[in-house]
This record gives sequence, C-alpha cells and structure tokens, in this order.
Amino acid sequence: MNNESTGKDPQNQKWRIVCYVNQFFGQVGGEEKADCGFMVKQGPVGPVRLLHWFLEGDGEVVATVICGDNYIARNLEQAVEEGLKIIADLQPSLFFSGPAFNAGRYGVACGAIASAVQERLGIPAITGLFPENPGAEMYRKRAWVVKTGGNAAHMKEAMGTMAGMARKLMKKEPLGSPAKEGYLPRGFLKNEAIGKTAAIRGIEMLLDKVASRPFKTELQIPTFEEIEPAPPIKDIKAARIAMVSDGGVVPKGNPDGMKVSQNTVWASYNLGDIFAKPFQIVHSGYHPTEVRENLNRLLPLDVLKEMEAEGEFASLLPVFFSCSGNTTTVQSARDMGRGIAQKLVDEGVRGVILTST
Amino acid sequence: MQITSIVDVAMMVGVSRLIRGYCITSPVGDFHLKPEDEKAMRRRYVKKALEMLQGEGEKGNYKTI
Amino acid sequence: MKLRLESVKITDVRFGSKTSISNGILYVNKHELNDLVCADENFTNVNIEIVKPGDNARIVNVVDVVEPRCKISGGSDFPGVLGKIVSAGRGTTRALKGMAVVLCDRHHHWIHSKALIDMTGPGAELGRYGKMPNLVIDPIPNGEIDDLDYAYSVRRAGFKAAVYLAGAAGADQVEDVEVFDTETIHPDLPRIAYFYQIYSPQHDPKGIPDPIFYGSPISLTLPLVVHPNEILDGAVLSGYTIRMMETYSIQNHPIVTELFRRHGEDLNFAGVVLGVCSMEPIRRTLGAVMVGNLVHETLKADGVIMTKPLGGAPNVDLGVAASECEKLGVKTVLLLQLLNTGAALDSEVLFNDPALNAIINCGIIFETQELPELKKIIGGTAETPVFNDSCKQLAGQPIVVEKRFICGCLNQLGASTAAAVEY
Repeated sequence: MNNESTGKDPQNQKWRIVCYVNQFFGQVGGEEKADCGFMVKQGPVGPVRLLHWFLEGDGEVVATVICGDNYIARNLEQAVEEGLKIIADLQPSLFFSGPAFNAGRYGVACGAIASAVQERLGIPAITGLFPENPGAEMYRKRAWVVKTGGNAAHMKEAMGTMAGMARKLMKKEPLGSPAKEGYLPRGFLKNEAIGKTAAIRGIEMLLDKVASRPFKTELQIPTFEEIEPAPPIKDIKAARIAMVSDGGVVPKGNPDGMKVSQNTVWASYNLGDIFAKPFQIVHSGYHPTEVRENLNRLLPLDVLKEMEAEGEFASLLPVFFSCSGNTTTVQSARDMGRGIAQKLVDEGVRGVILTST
Repeated sequence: MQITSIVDVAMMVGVSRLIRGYCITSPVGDFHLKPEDEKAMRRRYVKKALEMLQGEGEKGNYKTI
Repeated sequence: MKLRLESVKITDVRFGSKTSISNGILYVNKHELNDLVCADENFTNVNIEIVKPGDNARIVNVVDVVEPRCKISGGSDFPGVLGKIVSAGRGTTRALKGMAVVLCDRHHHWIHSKALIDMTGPGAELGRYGKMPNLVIDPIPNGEIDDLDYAYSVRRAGFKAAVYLAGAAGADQVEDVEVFDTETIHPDLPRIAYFYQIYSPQHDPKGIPDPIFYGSPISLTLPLVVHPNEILDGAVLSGYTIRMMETYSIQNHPIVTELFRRHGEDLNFAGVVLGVCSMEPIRRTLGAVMVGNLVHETLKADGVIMTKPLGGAPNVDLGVAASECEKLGVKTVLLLQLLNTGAALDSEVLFNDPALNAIINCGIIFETQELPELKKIIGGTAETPVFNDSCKQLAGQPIVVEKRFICGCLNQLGASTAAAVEY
C-alpha cells in the first residue's frame, strides 16, 4: 500500500506513477489504430521513459495506460469512466497524461482523464497542452495543465516542466504563479508585490505611450462574443412577458444565499410575495434607499399589472428572476443568463424586461 | 430588453434593445417627482420597453425617455 | 503656488507629561489630547492608545488614518473642516513622518466601510500601517447619535489630533524640506496631467453626500481644475467609506508626489483635474467631454494618468472620460483594480475602447487573507464583528478577511506594489 502522506511505496519509497498516452505515443500504431480501446503496458512506454528518467529517485512509472484518440472522442464521458477505473486499480499516487501539444482529440482526452483523476482519486494529475489546444481552456481549472509548445519537438522541455511541477506538488512545496512555473492559470487571481508602486509604473507607462515607445498594458480590454438579437415579437397581445433584475432583490433572510459581490446565484421569486412581504437587497454596489422605498423603481410591477389588465400583452409571469450583478465575472454572468433564459423558455415567456442598477 | 443607466457597459457587451434607466439607484423611477407623476413616467418606460420588444434589435444604441 | 513641506522623522511614540519631540520620539500628553478630542459633545470619552510594530494587537473599526500635519504659515489646518476655508497648498506645512493617527468608529454600522490594522503577523506584512507606530483614537459615543454625525465627529477628531501632534515639532527639529513648485516650465519635456476621480455618490448613506473637498460635499460637481499642492495640503480628505483611500495616502499622494519629483527631469507636471463619478449617463457624457477639454485645452497635457475610487461604476465613468481625452490626442493611462477573484486579466475591465490600451493593475480587492488570533483588540472588543460574506467572525478570533479591508495593503491612488496575478 502507498504511504499516504508522501505517496511513496514504503517498500522502495518511490511514488507510484501511472501515465496515459494515446495509440501513437503508446507505440500501438498511427491514425489507423485510433479506434483501439484501453490497454495497460507495464512500466514506461515511449516518451514516458523521459518522465521516468526525470523523476528517478523520487518516483517510478509502474504502468502506461494507452487508448486510441477516436475511441475516447466517440464517447468522452464513458471512456473517461472506463479509463478512470483502470487507473484507480493501478493505485497510483501521481498521474500524468500526454503531453498532447496541439493535438485536439488527444488534448481533450488528456484533460478529461487528468481532471477525473485529480477530482475523484484526489492525487495530483498533470498534463501538458499548447494554450490553443481546446482541451486547455476546458480543463486548466480542473487539472494541472503545463504550457507546452505546439508539437512533439518540445517533448523533452514539456516533460521536464511536468516533472518539476509534480515534485513540488508531491512534496507539498509552495507553487509559484503560472507564469513562473510554466502551467496554465487555474482561474483565480492573487495579489503579488511586483516591485514598483502602481503610481510609478503608471507614470513610466504614460511617458512611454506619449513618446510612442513600446509598452505593455497590465490589463486588457475585453472582447465579447457576438450574440444575434432575438427576432421581434409579432403578436404582443398573445405574448407572455417576464421581469428579470440584477439588483439583488431577495426575500428577507436571503434563502438562496445570494452574495453581495462576486455572486453566482440566481433564483426566481413570486412577485406578489416580494411586494407584500419583507425583502432585502443583496448587492453592495449601490445604496438601496430608493428601491427600498418603492420596489417598483426596480421591478415595475405596478404599471405592468395595469397594462396586463388592459390587454397590452397576454400575461405577466407571476415570478421574476433575481440575481446580484455586482462584480460578477463575465463567465458567471453568462452562466446565470443561460440558466435564467432556459427557465424563461420553459415558462413560455416571449419577452423580458431586465432592469439593472 | 434591458433598462439600465450604465448604458456604456450594456452596449459594450452587445445588448440590442436598451433603454437608458433613470439612475443607478433607481432605474425605472424618478424619485424627485410626486408619486403619480413618477408612476406615469414609469409607464412610459415600460411602454417603450414593450415597443422595443416588437421591433428589431439594434446594437450600439439606446433609447431615452 | 509654492508649498513648503517640512518633515520631522518619528521613530517612536510614547505617553509623557508634555507633548513634545525629542531625539525622534514623540511624547504625548494623554490628558491634553483626551480633552481636545472630547470637546466634541458626541463623545463621552475617548480611548487613546499607542501601538508599535510587533505588538500583538489588532486595531478594528478603522475609518481613517491621518499623518500628523499642521500649517505653520500661509493657510489654515484642514480648511473647511477644522480651519476656515482658505486655499490649501501655499506657505509652510510641518509633518511628522514615520507614524500615523488611526481613527476608530465603534458606532456606525455599515461594516463594509471599516478596515483593520494588525501590528504583527501577515497583516502587518501586508499593510503599511503595521510597520509604523500608531496613535489610535477610539471615541466612546455619547448615547444614540446619528451615524453620519458621529462619523464626521470621529474624522474631525483625527484631524484635530493630527494638528495637535504636529504642533509639537519646533522649527529647529525639521530634518527635511520638500518644496512643491511647478512654476518653471520645461518646453522640451512632455506635459503630464493627473485626472483624479475622488468620489462617487453611489454609496451616499441616505443619499447624503460626503463633505470631502474643503469640507464641502462634491457629489454633483462637474470636473474642475485644482492645483496639486491643494491635494497634498488637506483640501481632499478620505470619504465615509475608507475603501483603500485613507487620508494618509492622499496627504502622501503617490502620483502627485511622483509627478512633482519628476517635474523638470522627464516631464512637466501639467496640473490636476478633479472629477466625481456620475450616476446617470447624460452627466457622465458631459463630465467626460469636460475632462477632455480641461486636460487638452486648459492644462495642455500630452498625457494624463487617471485614478478612481470604489468599484465598477467609477471604472465605467473613468473609461468614458479617458476616451474623450484620447479623441483629442491626449494619451491616457488608467489605474484600475480587479473586482472578482475568479476573473482573468483580459475580461474584467468595463470598457472596450481600443485606445484605452494602457492600464495599470492595482490588485484584486477580494483576495482573502487568513489572519491569526491576536491578543489585544483596539478600537473594539474581541466580539466586534469583522466582515466576511460567508460566515460570522469576531475580531478576537483567527479571521479571514478580504485584502481590501487590511488598511494600507491595497490602494487606488497607486501607493501599493500589489498587482493581481493569474493563478
């Protein structure tokens, strides 16, 4: 059995390492063998020998798991489950997949399997991908993805970095920033002291910009995906309308745990109740005095009810969708929006009035 | 469609049916007005909103009330 | 306009029988200071404490930090707040360097707006005030007082103390003199201006604006030109929410002082435009157009560096103003903070004008920091709540706080070296 705190086999004190590679690097064959299923070969195979060599003294590759790119791509979820079981049975304390460089199917497979191992076996799982490999964006937050060059000419370098990271993770040494260590960002921000004060960096950047000397911005402006506007509502009198707001209105007690900032929670609440019973504002980006005095200033229920009675539209959805839009990331906003949109579609809503503070 | 006073951000992300709200703390109501006048103003906002839902979306622009 | 800033370096602060300075040690007559502070009827009494770097102490309920300064000539102390309204920025001001006066407000309840200072441990490492001796003023409220009224009293107490302490320094004790003067123009050097968005009314409690400009509220002001000396000399003070712009950092404004230092070396300090974040779009556009004109036509700047307070809305407002400047050919650099720990460095800026391609990263405000249990709590008790969105925690426990609440850790004026790094 493995020694749990260091992952080392007490027999020979080395980490039990298992690696996954595809049919090509596993020396089964080329593209013509991409449909082959999972197989296990003893010890390191092909380029995995490099990894074995890098980690000599600390770890030992006990098995190489091989599978064809097409076999996995055809049914990713199922294949990952199958692979995970095989890997688990080998009882590794450390796992590697790839590196896959810029190969798309292989990269996604490497990322998916590494993520499953990391999350479900609880051991460090490291892969290597070129930043533009689709697997990189999909899995960098879930497994350790070392940044590699675009093709296998970078194999030695990639393996070296992967081995170096493995050592730090296994020895529980502090890991530096992605930029320093050579892995892809895992999706969060930390503050670091970077030498000069922001004031001095700013003035120096400005002097460069004014003099037309090259400079590098520290933050980039965002780009947003193009979204097609929904087509016009042809028959408003037959349409169901709904309200959505990101002003953070919730029933008193905040039953769904909405956050005042960096929120990711959305919920629907009955309009009658929110107007009749106590409510609170969970949003620390504006002063709620005016909305507390008259909730219609955020959710124009008074006039919508009148217009519904007058037949301006068919019906107003009895619930509204609420979230708090204060310092949300673009990604969280997108996720909340998609979730709310699906519910609206399910309720037969044709038009939405979204109010924001 | 969206009603917000921070039209710059809405336009930046590509909102295609946009009305400029009254102010950050009160998007659909001018609280300096008498209650009945404020409600009448709110009605104008919502009427415009329903109109816009019946029209083509237009990015990079917003309506004011 | 010339301002002469005289400095006396303080290495230690102790209580003594007479408020005086000797060999870099500031002695403070506690009773005299107590009487001075308690002249305000909003207080029944005041706790006055001295803390030093390394003390096992945590100061909570911090609402401002002030450097001791007093006018020797050419103006009045904190004009419009303590002294009568005359222009700041002229004559001579004397400062005690290397220490600070810390103000605690136990009374008002909006805990988003209060910070803390640890004098030992990781908190002291991160925040500049944990590295200097501080004199803490922690008044006791006289019954039930309106939050705002009390908050102003506390801040005023800080300024009074600042003046009182600085007054202990004699002319013969002055060690360093800086003269802030940009009257000489150097035609071969670029003209650099500073746009200082000092305030946003979005958090005005009960809609009442904060009187931070010469003691007057400035919520609805359109942009105006001020002399940079005024900023250094007490015309602009911290607002109701401390939010990483405590008065000490304004008195020692990193951009203003750096632009002064470089005036004649590699730039001309062209001047300062003050602005306020607009709450609604017509005003925002008008304000932005005016900033463009003031910076381009009035200050004749080649470039402008820009800062903002608070959070997202001022970020938008700053972007619109910067775009107007760029349209007129004035190059801009903006100092911004990131507002979400789950963000990336290329998605969280709230504007996308490609001309705004020079942005400085002033840190991620929500990154959390674990702070250990410390023995002594000042400005509150061990039961004083410390803000954490996910759980209840008290000052006397080990706590987890966002870095924006560690006073002197992050700063929106550019004083900090902290930047957000992708992990």
